[in-house]
Amino acid sequence: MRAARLCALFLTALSVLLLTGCFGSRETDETAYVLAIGFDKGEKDNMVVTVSIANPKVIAGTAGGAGGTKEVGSNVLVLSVETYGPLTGLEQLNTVTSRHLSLLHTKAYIFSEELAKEGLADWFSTMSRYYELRATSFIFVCRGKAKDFLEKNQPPLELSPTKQYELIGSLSRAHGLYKNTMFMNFYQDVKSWSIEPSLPLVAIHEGGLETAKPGVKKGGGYEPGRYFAGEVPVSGANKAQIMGTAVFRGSKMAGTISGEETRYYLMLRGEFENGFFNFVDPIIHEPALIGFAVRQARSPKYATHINEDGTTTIDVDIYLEADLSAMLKDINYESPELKPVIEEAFSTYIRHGCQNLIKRTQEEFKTDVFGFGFHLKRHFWTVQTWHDFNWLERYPEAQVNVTVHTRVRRTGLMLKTSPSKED
Amino acid sequence: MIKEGTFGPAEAIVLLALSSLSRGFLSYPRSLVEIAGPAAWMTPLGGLAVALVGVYLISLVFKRNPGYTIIETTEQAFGPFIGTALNVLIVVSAFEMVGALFLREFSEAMLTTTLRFAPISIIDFSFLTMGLLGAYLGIEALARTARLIYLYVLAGLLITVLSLIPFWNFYNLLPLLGKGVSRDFLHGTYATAGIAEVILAAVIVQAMGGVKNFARIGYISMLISFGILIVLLVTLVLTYNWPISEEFTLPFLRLYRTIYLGRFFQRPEAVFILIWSVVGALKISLMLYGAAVSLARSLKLPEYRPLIWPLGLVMYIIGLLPLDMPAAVNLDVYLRGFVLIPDYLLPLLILAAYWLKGRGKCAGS
Repeated sequence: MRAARLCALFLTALSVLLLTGCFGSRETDETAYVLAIGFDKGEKDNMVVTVSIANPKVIAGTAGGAGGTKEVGSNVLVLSVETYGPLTGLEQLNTVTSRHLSLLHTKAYIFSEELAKEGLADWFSTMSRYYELRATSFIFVCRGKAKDFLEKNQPPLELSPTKQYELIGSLSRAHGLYKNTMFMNFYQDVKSWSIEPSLPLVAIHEGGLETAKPGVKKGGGYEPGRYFAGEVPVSGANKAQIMGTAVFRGSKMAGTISGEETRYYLMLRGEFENGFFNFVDPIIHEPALIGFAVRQARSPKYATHINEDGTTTIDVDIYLEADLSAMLKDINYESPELKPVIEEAFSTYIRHGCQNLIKRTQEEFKTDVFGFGFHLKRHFWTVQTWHDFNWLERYPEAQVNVTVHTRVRRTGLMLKTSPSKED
Repeated sequence: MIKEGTFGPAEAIVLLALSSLSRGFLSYPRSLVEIAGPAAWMTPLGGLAVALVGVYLISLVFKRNPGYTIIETTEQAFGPFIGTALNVLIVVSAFEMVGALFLREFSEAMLTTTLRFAPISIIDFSFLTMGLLGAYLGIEALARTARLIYLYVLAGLLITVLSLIPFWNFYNLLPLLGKGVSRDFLHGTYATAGIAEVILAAVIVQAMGGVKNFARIGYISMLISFGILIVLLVTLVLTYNWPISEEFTLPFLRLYRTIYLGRFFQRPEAVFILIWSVVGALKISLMLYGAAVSLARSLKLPEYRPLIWPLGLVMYIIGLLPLDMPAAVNLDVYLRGFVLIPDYLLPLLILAAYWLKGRGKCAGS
């Protein structure tokens, strides 16, 4: 027994020498982490794969020069290769890097508009199979080239671009000008019979304030979200912009909707959280605007009917709550008599926006990105009958009625507006 | 007489439930989604009903023959020659096959996810070593280990389910009847009823405190394991719609990798792999133990431990036989049908043999 114990002890001690690491182990200092990856259509080969790799020297602050300067150079290294597919591209890029490229920490997958129009299903299927991909990564469609976007995207406030992409996700909840989409959402929607997918638009803004569109006093619009990514008249350090949504039919991009339309889109899906809206003063009718800080009070109510001739009617009730935030004229809209007037005006304004967007998706894109199919599915008992109903083909003929209910809950730090002397 | 040790009903329930639950960690949930689509969660309902009936049938067998296990009872019912043959060909083989395929699928899962460059023989051998050790220490040690770890396993599962709530889409459960009633309940029952734990309970019945506790332990453990399987399936389909869920090699690992509660709580799959390994080792130990004890009882040997090594080697070799992972997963589908024989057909045959013997005695008198 004693000998057996000694033998066991010896074997255990020996295992310390033998079990020094697992097969294929890779230390973190042997790995280059791809933070974002972009795909463009290739000129000679299938596609151009661009990777944005974390530069550990800069991020860790060890590349400091004299005088304690920590940040020298870019915090990312951007490389591109023209190749057949994403994984072969990574292999080829590994010929110029000293470290193994890893997608374990990749936060963003960016597809060019051109590639998205040809269809993304094949590439998503490949990526979904790859063990390093995480379904919680964010996906974007880039107006222009994804390569340019990754090269020119230098978030001035973040040391790590990973954080930028993660914060982008939470920021969309603050204004609703784009819809944050994870890999898992897009991939599910591509294969669903109830909804079509959508992705947020990103772009590089070349230029400055000159891209501004005429405002309300110059005969133009007044919606802050009437732009697409790459058009927002912002001048400053970072050229990368995110606004608007690319809508898909199957895995092929069918068109784009602006930031403003994206808000209606989110409202119709019950995913709008916060945002600032302008609308025309209902009493003055001049280009005088009222501003509301709006949030979705609760999920929309959907009532679906399948008529005898097979057509469908969908009634959507949207519930909004607003804070009165801005007013250019001295009208006491805070009063119980006038409050319903602006509530009704705002409801009508949102309803028109939603109806116009639905009309666009039915006539122009022919794609149910709202997921009305989810609500219609309850009329069917089995997968086969639902499949045979062929909802996505029937969507353009569906009758969709939108009703908006708005309640102004708060009026900011003012409970009454007194008239000015000039008035 | 084989000394197995004894443990209480609580340990027995946890042991059988955890062992049965382990199938949920492999590609098994995927196959249920493939059968029933959005109604995958309904498939275990039929299996549960059949498993409860199976436990009841075995308890009827034991009422006529208390103090013995299913191995001795089979021999008494069919005589030493046919009884031993049935025990070896059905019961021992079932444990060996289930253990071998489980070993292979677990190793493949490890290779697919974490140890991608390790040779499968090494991973297989590591799991087998844990299985050999567990089987050598005996059923009492395994039961008490199960009692120690079950709270961690259940807490891990609960955290997973709760963490995935932000990703749930309740419309994924529609259409309610999935791919049709026949697929939900007939195919579903066939796919879920074949669990080795029903016959395992009949083999270790004396260690669980004897026949008097058998039915209660069997019912409760089946309710727990099938209940957890239903919760896992509901979570899977709520998180990923069924066309996607049926694509996954390891659905539960996908669920873990999906957890994303803000920037500071994500990537908890390391915890999952820990739970996964513990439950896997427990399952392999139990299957090896079941095979060794059943064979030792069939051959009237006083000790089962010497049989662990050759049976372990057989398990290892069978596990390596499937050409690739899809082949191993497909074999698993056929094996489920085979396990129905020791679980439900064998007790029915024993009851029929007793009935015929009773009639013969009545006719003789």
